[in-house]
Amino acid sequence: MAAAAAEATIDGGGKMIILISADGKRFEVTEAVASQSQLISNMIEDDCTENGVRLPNVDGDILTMVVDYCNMHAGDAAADGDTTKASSTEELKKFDAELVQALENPVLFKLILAANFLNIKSLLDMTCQRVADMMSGKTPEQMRETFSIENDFTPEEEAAIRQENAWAFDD
Amino acid sequence: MASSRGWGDLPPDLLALIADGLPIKAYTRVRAVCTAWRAAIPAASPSLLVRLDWNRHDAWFLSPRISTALHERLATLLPGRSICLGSGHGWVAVHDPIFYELQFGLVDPLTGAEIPFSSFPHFAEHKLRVSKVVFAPNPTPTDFTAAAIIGNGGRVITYTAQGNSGWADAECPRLGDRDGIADVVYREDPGGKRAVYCLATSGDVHVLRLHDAGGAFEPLFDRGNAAFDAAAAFAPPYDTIRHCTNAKNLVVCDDGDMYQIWRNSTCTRMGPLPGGGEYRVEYNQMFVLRYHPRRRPCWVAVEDLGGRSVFIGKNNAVALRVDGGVPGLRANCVYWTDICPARAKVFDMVSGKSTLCFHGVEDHRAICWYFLG
Repeated sequence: MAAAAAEATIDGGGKMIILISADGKRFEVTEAVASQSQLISNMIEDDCTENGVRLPNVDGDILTMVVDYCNMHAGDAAADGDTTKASSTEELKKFDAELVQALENPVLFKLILAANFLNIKSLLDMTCQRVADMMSGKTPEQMRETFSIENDFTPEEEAAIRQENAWAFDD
Repeated sequence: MASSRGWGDLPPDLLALIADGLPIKAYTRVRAVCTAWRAAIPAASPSLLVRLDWNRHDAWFLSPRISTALHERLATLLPGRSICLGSGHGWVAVHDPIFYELQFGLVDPLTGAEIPFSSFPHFAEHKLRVSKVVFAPNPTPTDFTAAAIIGNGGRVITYTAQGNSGWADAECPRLGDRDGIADVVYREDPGGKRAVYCLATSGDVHVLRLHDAGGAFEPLFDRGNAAFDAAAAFAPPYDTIRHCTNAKNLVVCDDGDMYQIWRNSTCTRMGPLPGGGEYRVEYNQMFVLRYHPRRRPCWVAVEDLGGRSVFIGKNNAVALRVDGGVPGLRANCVYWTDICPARAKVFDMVSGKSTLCFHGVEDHRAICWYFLG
């Protein structure tokens, strides 16, 4: 990843931006990588990235994943018209699939919040789809287990909900 | 990011985004996980029942943008041309002229459960025309409340408030010579009182009050008059153009607000107005009139639906408030179904135009609007 980023700097001659995580870790990335976040892209346009971009909502370990993701996908965007694009698209798909498959609680939860906060649509879509996949085929009780959620319905409320949509709870 | 935060605290907009990609069964189950999730995700409704081919039917939801395959039993009950007679509260009323066991009755399209109208008084009359059926929520084989528009002129309501043992006929009063009942709406007030609102093609409205002992008609307005007085109901030019709008529907909102929705289903029509001048009513043009109990005339043309969207057709008409932001729905719009071709359309009261609800899907026939129970 570091090599890829350095290469991009040399090739594109792009400006570098420092991202600062909630726990004070610093990430130096190119504008091309950072601007996949609509939030940061807007800050670049407004010229307020000089002293680094503080991201008080995002931990260092999550920001590492976000930067990895953006590095991969910045390469993709830059490779437009490149003859190697087909293979890089394949690699990208593989990278995305591996990333999303490896995601577990609570990292997935934090990554969704980060993707939402940074406004990176493709990452948000991908992580949301992962959660939707985890929900599919489960009963409400199994979902509570998977996501560590307390059942705060009264027994009467729960019975009413089940009766209202009995077809959805028949197995 | 505080580490104590968990999935139960997921921001509502993100949860809604996740749920939007789920099949309807999982979607409904997610709403049963905890109170926060239930509050964040709107109930999935409404949807359009569609026939894709002879044995395939789907429900297409306006929100979330998903579809669900329906029980195959529906395919045998709705063969060839559509004979869906009504829908509401998760059930569909069907007339099945081929299979004897359920000639008239209710079907749950998701489970295939059936409630036959076994002692429907017109069971044996082959030429019987039933144009619409409405019914109360949570019907069971032994206990249901239903009403149907019967006969070629649609002058009679057959109803029951006591399942199959209670069927009876009631002739709608104050109907003119070529008048009939155009639409019916079932409504229960919060006190549990049951009523069927009947809209005549003239624009007159009668209320059939249902009791366990039977039912009785009463006019909605002008109770002292034995004949319908159009001038007390509609101001010009609506007293005239009501004759050019063959498709009429009634909407009774939860708060008691009432609308008549008229559509010219014939072709563009023109003619003289009694007070001078000409009217011109475009093909499929719609008119919405709101009921004001203490005004005369009591039905007044309006330019909006008070922020609601309304769903009309074979379904028990539904009005939804969408100002609170129901995704996929537009306020002040009439959702209706065209017949030829059978497509769902949405009439925007601001633009005065109807557009397709579902784009880019050619091979289907819209059956009716369907609301999950």
